[in-house]
Formats: sequence, structure tokens, C-alpha cells
Amino acid sequence: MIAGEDARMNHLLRRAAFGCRAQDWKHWSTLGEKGALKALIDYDKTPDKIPDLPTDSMGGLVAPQDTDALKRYWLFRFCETTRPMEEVMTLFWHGHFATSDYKVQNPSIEYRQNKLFRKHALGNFRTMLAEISTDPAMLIWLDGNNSTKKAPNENFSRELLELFTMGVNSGYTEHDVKEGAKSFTGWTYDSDRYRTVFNAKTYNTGPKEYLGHKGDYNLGETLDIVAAHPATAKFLSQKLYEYFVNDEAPPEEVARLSDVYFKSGYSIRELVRAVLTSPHFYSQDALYSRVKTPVQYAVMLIKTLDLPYSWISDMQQYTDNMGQQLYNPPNVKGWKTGRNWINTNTMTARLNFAKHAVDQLRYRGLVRDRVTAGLAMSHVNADASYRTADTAISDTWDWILPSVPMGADTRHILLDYMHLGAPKKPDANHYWNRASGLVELIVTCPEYQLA
Amino acid sequence: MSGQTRREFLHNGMSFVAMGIGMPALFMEAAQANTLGKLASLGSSPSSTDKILVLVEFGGGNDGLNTVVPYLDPVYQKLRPKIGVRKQEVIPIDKNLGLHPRMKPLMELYEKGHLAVVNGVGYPNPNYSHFESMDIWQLADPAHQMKERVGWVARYFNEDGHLKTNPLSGLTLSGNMPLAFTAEEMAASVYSQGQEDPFTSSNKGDTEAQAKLAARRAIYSQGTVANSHLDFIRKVGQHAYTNTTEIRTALATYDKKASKESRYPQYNDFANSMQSVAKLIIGGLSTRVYYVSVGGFDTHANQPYAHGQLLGTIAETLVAFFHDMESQGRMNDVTLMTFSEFGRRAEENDSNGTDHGTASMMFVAGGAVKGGVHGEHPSLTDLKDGDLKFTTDFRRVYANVLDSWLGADSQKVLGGKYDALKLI
Repeated sequence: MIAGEDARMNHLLRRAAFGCRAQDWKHWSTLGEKGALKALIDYDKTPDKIPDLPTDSMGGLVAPQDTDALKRYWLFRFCETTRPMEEVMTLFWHGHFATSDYKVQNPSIEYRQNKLFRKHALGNFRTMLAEISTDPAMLIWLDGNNSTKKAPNENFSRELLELFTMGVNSGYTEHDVKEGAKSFTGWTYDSDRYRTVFNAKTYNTGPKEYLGHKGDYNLGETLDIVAAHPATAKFLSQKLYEYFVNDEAPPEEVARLSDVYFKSGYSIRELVRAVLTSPHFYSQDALYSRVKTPVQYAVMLIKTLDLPYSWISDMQQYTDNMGQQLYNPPNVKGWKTGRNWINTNTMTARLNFAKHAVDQLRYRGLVRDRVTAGLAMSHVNADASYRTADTAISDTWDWILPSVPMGADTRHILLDYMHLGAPKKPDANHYWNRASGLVELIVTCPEYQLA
Repeated sequence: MSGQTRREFLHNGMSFVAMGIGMPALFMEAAQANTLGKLASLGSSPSSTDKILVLVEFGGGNDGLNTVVPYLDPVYQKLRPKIGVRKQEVIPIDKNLGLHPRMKPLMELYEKGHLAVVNGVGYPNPNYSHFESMDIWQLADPAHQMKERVGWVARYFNEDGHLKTNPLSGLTLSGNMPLAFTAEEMAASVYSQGQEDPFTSSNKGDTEAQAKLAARRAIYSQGTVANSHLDFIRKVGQHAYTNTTEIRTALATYDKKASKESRYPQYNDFANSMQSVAKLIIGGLSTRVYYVSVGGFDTHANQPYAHGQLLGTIAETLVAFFHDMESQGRMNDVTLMTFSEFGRRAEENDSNGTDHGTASMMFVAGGAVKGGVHGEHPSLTDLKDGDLKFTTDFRRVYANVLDSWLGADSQKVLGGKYDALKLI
């Protein structure tokens, strides 16, 4: 188990909240381990202070109608929400039911889908399936629109089984894909009203064979069958475990989580609670074992430095370059995770974003304030006036990377950097002047890429 | 090496401190030269005699039947009454087959004998999942026999000491690292234009920035526990640093004349990427295999317009690309190969589209290629569950490219002997 209550709290906040601002640290630490977890998960009790984007009476976005605006709004939510886990889970579902602008090309319904994910982020999985199956953006994305009695389109039916519920090679057949397609017919997209409508005339009534069952199943009944399938419980448990803990879900843990899935009546909230209270979540091995996703990296950086969102211009351009274009996942399987996030191109984008963020403090002469605030959060030398570079380095490192040991080589390099050009009798001012560089070097080092 | 780099930094850093603030430029140049010189010497140096392979992924499952059309076959018109290409519109390439009309520009290459069309390409027990089938092509492993998920191009790099250690052996211009390039120790990189270089700055006078960048380079040059995430990230960071410098040099070498005369389609990602590939090849980058992908082939509905647009842009781009190669005298150094995870079902669906199928086609193009039609076109009457039966295992194409173009041992790379198609 990870040693130290603060270390465990930081671990929880990195994974389930994408970090925390200095002013919020007291809130979480006062609640304690159990209280903080409960507050994070049962976030519906915390008022959401961020209003929705304005839409007209039909649900059409008013202004501006483009995906960059949607990305900005969502990243703003990530950075400033009072319910961080709501956004972390909304992003999970966006990657799970991955729908892309490159085909949908309609920000109004993309935003509508985003609200759907947020509404059911920790809701009921069966309800989520029903909602997403008739969601306008999904209907366009996987060709459900105009899938008719005469011509059932297989696209959604296939991905439902392969990617959304049971997982590949889990026992369904090509026949199930074709039969399932029949149940999803009849839904069309009404582009004037940004909604879907059911047309009984184009719906395929008649017997279907689906996953070993036979009957005249409609959409809801088909989803009942698939939601109740053990492979679905296993697939979802595994995926949530991987999202929060690590890639090697032990079979017995997957079995325990699958049990929670069924016993709770498909409650995502209870499944996530079970993941986060798993002893594996707090095991020493889990500590900094995940490669941060681009959004996680960017949002954590903003929170660590306690920057207001509006100071960061075009944050979405950086997360795009880091390989995670919100509203535009590469394909229906969503983003590949782990080391797949890291290549020469995305690393360049990560380092450039960090510089951009730290520069916002540097230009405003605020590094000293923010460093002090950060140090207050980490309980060390809240008002230290540094006389030695060594303590400045250690404390700044511990603030940004709590529980990470600093390598001896790294310490030497940072010391050299701090000493460079120092007056013969170094004073606190010299080190404060180099503080922004020190902060930038630490948030761009390999260790900060992990969570 | 990494320890040494740090010592270099420390040494120079110390002398800078000792000499006072007046010496920053020297300090920086020394630190930079040392780190860069050491890291860059790892890779093989660019040589214009190297044979280059350009892989083009058609993502989503390209409808081979509407790309290379069996236009005289009455069964084709029966299977495709609504979305079929009309007989009078196809561009005939032999007695039975014709290209989609939007691919007309390709005839320039075809008539010169620089374009091969490979028919009926697939593999046994076809998989209908985009992701599973794409993995099969990238790993060249339909039967899932490989113990590790190392891509087929990465396995080729691994067979060669120089290629194995050059992070630029493989380069993709399509955002994500393809599985074909993926290995534990990656000899491949991802590049896109327009990003700032986070490791160097041309502003030598900005001593504060230079000091910070030198420290960052030193941090990224350290050794770490092998195979850890940190080690991986550190290496990728180092590669980002050395690549940027090499790519900058290559782009500076690129002949402006080629760019002026080029005929690439405008405002198109695929065309932009292919033009970048042309620039880097001409600029002498050490890359052996380039990878570019173009998506949008998953045409379940309303196929004709979308598919035509795609094929049109691709044809125009490929012609512009080879025009660049020809004008720079590199036609015989470059082979381009297209592939897709699968073809589409023989019969159209009722949404004016096609569902996931099996066998498809490949283009192989270049000065060294034996142009014309290769491989038997699959029968439209002898179908299996409504799908085409493949006639050419894709590994026969890989084997030919590996043995006859890249000078590798295809048997080693592919883990078996395949009757190489004679395309090159």
C-alpha cells in the first residue's frame, strides 16, 4: 500500500480528478480518504457551478458553432469544475462510445452527445446503452440513420458487441451482428430538430436470433440481452479497471467487479466505487504507473500551477497536438492508451504546452506566488525564503511530483541550472528569479508524464 | 553515453559559472554539439542509394471492387445495381478490368509501366473487425502465431543493426505510430510540421532560455531502468530532439523548384503529408520506410460520392508525388505500396453502401515496379457467405518488397516462406 495519507490522496486526485488546485487541497484533505472518495464519486450532491452552453429551443448551438468552441468549453470544465470526477468519467465514455466529428460534422449534436455522457457518467449502463443507441451523433456515425426494415445496416450492431459491450472474440458471431442490426432499424435523425425519431414503418418486426435467444426483439429488448451478458460485465469491469488502476487486471478482481455490476443492477457508480476502493488501486505498484493521457497532462498542469483557464489561449490546440483531439477520436475504438500516447511528435507537444503554461506565470511575475501556494499545499516550507538552491529544488520537486524520488543526476542538473550565473554570495532573489525555469524543467521531465 | 552527456553538461556548466555571465553562447554551443553529436551518430547516415518504401494505409476497408472494376462482368452490375461504376465510365486497364473514373490521373503512371495493380489480396479466415484485421496486416500474422506484438516493418528494422538503432528508420506523418512500426525499442518516429522545438532555440543571445534548454537536454540524456515507462519517455524525448535537427536539415536541402511545380491537391491532409514525404526523401533524410494513412473508406452508406472523392484525391496526390520523384531523379529509389484492412461485401447494401468484406486490392508504384495487372481477380460467382475469396495472400506482396526491394530476408521477417509475387 502507498505509504502516507497525503500520498494516497494525491494518487486518488491524479487518477480520479486530474489533479487539484492549491486552494482545493484543504477541502479534500479535511474530508480524509473515505470522505474525499465519497465526495468525488457522489458528486451529484455538489452543485455544478458551470452553466451549459446556450442552445436554442431545438437544441441547436447558438454560437460559436464549431468543434474548437466545444473543446474549449470542455477543457474549461475540466480545469474549473467543482465535480472533477464527472468530467473524468465523461471523457471515459467519449473514448468508449467514440464518435468523431470527421463524419458527424455537426457541433450541435456532438455537444448533445457530450451532455448525454455527462448526464449518465456514473449512471446506469443499460440506460446509457439505450440513450447512445438512438443518439443523433451515433446514428450518423455508425449509419443507424436510415437503417431500415429492408436494409438493416450492420455498422452499429457490430461495434455495439465488439467495442461497446461484450468485447472482441467474446462469443458473439457474424450472425448475431446481422440479427442485431434488425432490432436497431427504424430510427432516423431529424436534422431540423437535432433529435431522433422512431418510424414504425421502417422498423423490422419479426423473429430474430440474438446471442442464443429467439424472439421479436425491439431495441430495448436487444439491449436487455446484451447488458445481461456476462461478457459485458467482464469487458466493462476490465476497461474501468484499466482506466483507473493499470493494464493488468487480475482475473479475480474482474470477477469481483463483474459481480458488483450485476448486483447493483448495472450501476456504473457502484462499479467505479468498487474499482477505487480496490486494494490494487492503492498498491505501491500503481503509484505513477500510468502514462498521463494528454487531457490529464494538460489539466493537471493547469491545476498544479493554479492557472485560470482564460490565461491559456488555445489549450485545445495543444491537446490536439498531444494526440487527443476531443470530439474527434481516431476511430470508433477510441484512443489507444499507455505508451501509445508517447511518440516524438506528441512529446514535443507536451513539452511545448508546459512551457506555454509556465510562461503565463513568468510573464505576469507570478511564479513566486504560485510556487509558495504549491508548497503550502504540499505542507513543506510554506513560507521558506530559500538560501540554498538545494532546498528550493527539493521542495519544488516534492510539490509538483509528490512521492517521486528525484534521481541523483537530475538533482545535479537542476543544481547546475540554479547556480548558473549566480552572484558570488547567492541570495534568495537569485533562486526566485530562476524559479520559473525550475518549475518548467520539472513539469517537462519524464517523471511528470506519469500519474 | 548518457552519464557522459551529463558530465559534459556539468563540466561546461561549471566553467560558465566560473567565468561569469559573459560566456553563455560558448557554453551552450559546446553542450549542444556534444549531446547532438553523440546522439546523432547512433543513426545511419542518409544515403541517396538507399531504397525507400512508402506505405499508404487506406483506413476503414477499401472497396476493391469499385476501385478496380470488373466492368465487363454482368454479375458485377447485378451485385451493384445502384452503386456500381458504369461500364462506359471506367478507365480500362486490361480486357476485363478498369479503374474507377476518378482515378484517371493514375493512367499517367500506369502507361509508363510504373503502377502495378494487385488483385484479390487477403488472407485465410478473414476477420471482419476493422481493428483485428488492421492488426493482422500490420503484424503480418493472420493466425496469431507471433508471441510479441512487433510490427512487420519493425521486425525488418530489427534484422539490421543500423536500422534498428536509428529512430528515423521509420517515419509516419499520420499522427499515431502504426503497429507495423511498433516494437519494444522503437526505430520509428512520428512527425508533423509546425511545432516548436522544445530542445533547442536559435536565439543564442537568450542565455536564460539556453541554460534551461541545456538542462532539459541533459535530463533527457540520463539512463534509467530499462523497459520502464520513464526509460521509454526519455528515449522518445531524445529522439524528438535529434530528429528535429535532422528533419530541419533535410527540409532545408529540399529543392524549391520541385515545390513550385508540384501539383498536389490543396487543403488536404493526405496530400500535405505526401508532399512532406517527398520533401524529406529529396532532402536526404535517413528514413527507409515512410507511413501515411488516409481514412474514410468505411462506406456503409452513401458510398459513391464519398468513395469517388477519396479515390480522386489519392490519384492526384500519387501522381504529384511521383512527379516530384521523377523531377529530382529519385524515381528508381522509391516504391509506394497501398493497403487496406479488408475489402467490402460483393453485394451492395440498401443504404447505397457496402458492409465489411474480405479480399481487396493493392497498388504498388515506382520506377522499379513491373507495372500492370498482377494476381487473379476474385470470382464474383464463387463467393463465400457473400464475400470474395482471396487469390493472393498479402504476405506474398510483403515478401517481394522485403526480398527484392529492401534487401531483407523475408523468411526471417515474416516467419515463413511465401511465394513472392514478382512486382519488383
